[in-house]
Amino acid sequence: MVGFKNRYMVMEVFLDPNRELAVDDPIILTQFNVSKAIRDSILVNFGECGLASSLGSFQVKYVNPITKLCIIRASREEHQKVWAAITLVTSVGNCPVLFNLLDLSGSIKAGKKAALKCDELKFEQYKLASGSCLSPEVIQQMHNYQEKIKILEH
Amino acid sequence: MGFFDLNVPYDAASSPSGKADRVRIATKAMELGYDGVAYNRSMRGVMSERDRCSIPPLSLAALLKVAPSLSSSVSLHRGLLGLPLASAFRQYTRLTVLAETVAQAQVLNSGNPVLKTYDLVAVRPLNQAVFDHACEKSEVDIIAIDFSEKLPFRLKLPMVKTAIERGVYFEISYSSLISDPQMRRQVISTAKLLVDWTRGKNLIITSAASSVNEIRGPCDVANVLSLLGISMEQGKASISKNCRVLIANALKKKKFFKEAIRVEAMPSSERLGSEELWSGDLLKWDPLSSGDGDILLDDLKKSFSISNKVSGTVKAIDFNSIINSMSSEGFQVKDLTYGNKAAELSLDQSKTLQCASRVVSSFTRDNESLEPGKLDGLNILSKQNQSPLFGTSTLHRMPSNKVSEKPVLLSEAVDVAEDREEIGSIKALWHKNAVSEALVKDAGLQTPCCDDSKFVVSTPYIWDTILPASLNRGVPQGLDSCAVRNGDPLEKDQESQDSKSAEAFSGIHCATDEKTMESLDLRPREELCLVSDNLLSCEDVSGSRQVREHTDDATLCEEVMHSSKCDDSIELNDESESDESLEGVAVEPQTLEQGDAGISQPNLNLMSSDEGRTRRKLRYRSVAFPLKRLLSPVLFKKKARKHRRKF
Repeated sequence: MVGFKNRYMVMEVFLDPNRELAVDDPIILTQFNVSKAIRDSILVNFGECGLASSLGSFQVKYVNPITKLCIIRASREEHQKVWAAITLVTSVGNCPVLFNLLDLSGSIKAGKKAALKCDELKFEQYKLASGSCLSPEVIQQMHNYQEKIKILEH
Repeated sequence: MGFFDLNVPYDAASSPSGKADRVRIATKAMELGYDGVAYNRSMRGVMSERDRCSIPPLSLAALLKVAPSLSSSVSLHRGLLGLPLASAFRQYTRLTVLAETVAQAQVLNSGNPVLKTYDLVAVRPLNQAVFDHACEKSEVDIIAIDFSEKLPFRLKLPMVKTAIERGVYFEISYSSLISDPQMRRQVISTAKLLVDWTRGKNLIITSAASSVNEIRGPCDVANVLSLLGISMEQGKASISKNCRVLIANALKKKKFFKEAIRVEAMPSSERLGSEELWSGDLLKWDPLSSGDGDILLDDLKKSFSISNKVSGTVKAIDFNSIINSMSSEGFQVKDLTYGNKAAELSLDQSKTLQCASRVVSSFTRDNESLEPGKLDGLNILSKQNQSPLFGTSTLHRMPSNKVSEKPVLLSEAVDVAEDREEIGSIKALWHKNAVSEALVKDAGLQTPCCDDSKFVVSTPYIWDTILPASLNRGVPQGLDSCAVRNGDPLEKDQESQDSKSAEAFSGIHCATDEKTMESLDLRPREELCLVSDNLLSCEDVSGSRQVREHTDDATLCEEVMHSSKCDDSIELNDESESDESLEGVAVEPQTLEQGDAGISQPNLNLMSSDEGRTRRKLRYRSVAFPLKRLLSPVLFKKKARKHRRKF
């Protein structure tokens, strides 16, 4: 039997909500900087013990810098704390951010499905927003990212 | 089950960047899936006329400038949250009064005109006395406490309880949790106290976000509150259900008279009285709309056109101005211009009705679809179906033939203690046929329901319109004879006779008047009981017996034949025959049913007389006192008999 129960959170990130449109992204999201930001937030809000207990299963599984989508895993016992900490994150690096949860599921399979759907929709929005300057590279990258989602394992 | 953010700070004197902030926050909120926001203006000190609401709602165009892909984003989030995609984004206005002294807090009562210009009113107490006053007496919707500093007063449980019972909500703002780590400590420790005392009830969570960075999605907010000790379920409720209830109540108080009638000014060019408008309008009442500021997001083109038409909406008007403009006599029945002799006659007898509202339908169906915020008085009709006529204020539409240029005046019975005339007129208004209306009204205007019945019996017209309850009840024969004798539609004679017998019975019926009238109008089943009570009281009167004895059945029969249309009179005839038996126990169920049909509400009485005829023919055995068994109530007929035999 599986001993470890996890929760997979699909979140979207809004980078610098205050900025004007048509400005490029201030930073590029990577697994590393998202993870760091969240860990700092847990440390500030829940202390050393809080960080230690949530660090066991905590992992940022997937980040898509184009559509700003993330899949974050946390243990079932600690997922509410981790979620609260994520909500309280104010900046990634020196860029103010806004996290918003899209989907919460208990298995990676459901998480993948939700992520694929949200990815599609968000990419549509991205295309609308960017207008005509949509290079084929971006499309290729999107494709890669979607493949990545499908490969995800717990 | 939408989510609301009821505190988006608005500063009247802010710089353009401040204004841009507001637009951004509103856009973000809409994107994140919120259904509505309230722009909050705070003020301090003495309230003056300058403090009237001047917060302009944002238009869709302004929001779209900030986020062109708004509609797709909104639909994504709403889909994820499980909300309907096409619901309107609502904007409300809110005032927060920072009260330092009890005198300032006392300004917050229901008579304050400045407060009426805002949708929501909140008070922020700054010391103990003000807090106590706010909990107990102030007419506010929200008590907002600033948790980011150490509280200068104590939250006492009895005060909090009083506030909850009164329906005041406590507000917790989460922006200070997000922005400043130092403040988080303070907020969590003080807010936790409030959460403990209120046990999660009557709490609303708002953002008070001064910039876009501080706003969060609804589910995220509910989760953060779990840190405060609010369960996830309560947290979600506090950001959705509680807000919704609060807004609905606040708007009801603001726009409805006694929270049940909406008054609207009707442009004179509007078409009145069309039957089509009824059902359409009924369903379009939007309890959460503040009249303007609703943004619909169907598609870009349509939304632009809608926002242009917002200005064409009809606003609810202040009820007090209407009342003041009414004549001192109140609403006169003759204003209704029935133009009917009977009506005129009734006017003489009727007292003037107390006008409570002027309800008009203000828009055609075309406009409706674009302006969900418009309310029609008819929406109250739906309420009326559920509640007694005289329990709440209800509205009626003018009959279709009363199209007139002047605004429609409808009688409205606010007071529970109705007069018969009022009842009659209200009954009348239900009819589509003006003649029948007038006559019914006239009937209603006569003395109690018994008289009503006999009046109706005699007049052929009214057959088709009202089958009065008491008619089929085996009204005491004296009354019947009077009625039947007037088989021809000689109203004058009738009325004189009616008035005579009316006098005889006026004393009896006064007490049961209101009751019976009520029942007549509303509930067929209950009406039966009440009517039966009335009848029983009739029966008990010795006078009725005497009159009955005097009647000549033969004459009755003759006269009955004369009135060809008086189908029910045949029944009465039969009733008179079987009257001698005086035992109608077996027939009671039948008569009850029949009475049911008879008492059926005026607007149903267009059941064809054919039906009635066949039904009535089956009930020849209906008796004078079908409900006599109610004199000595027993549990079951059979059992009662058994007992009697034994003893």
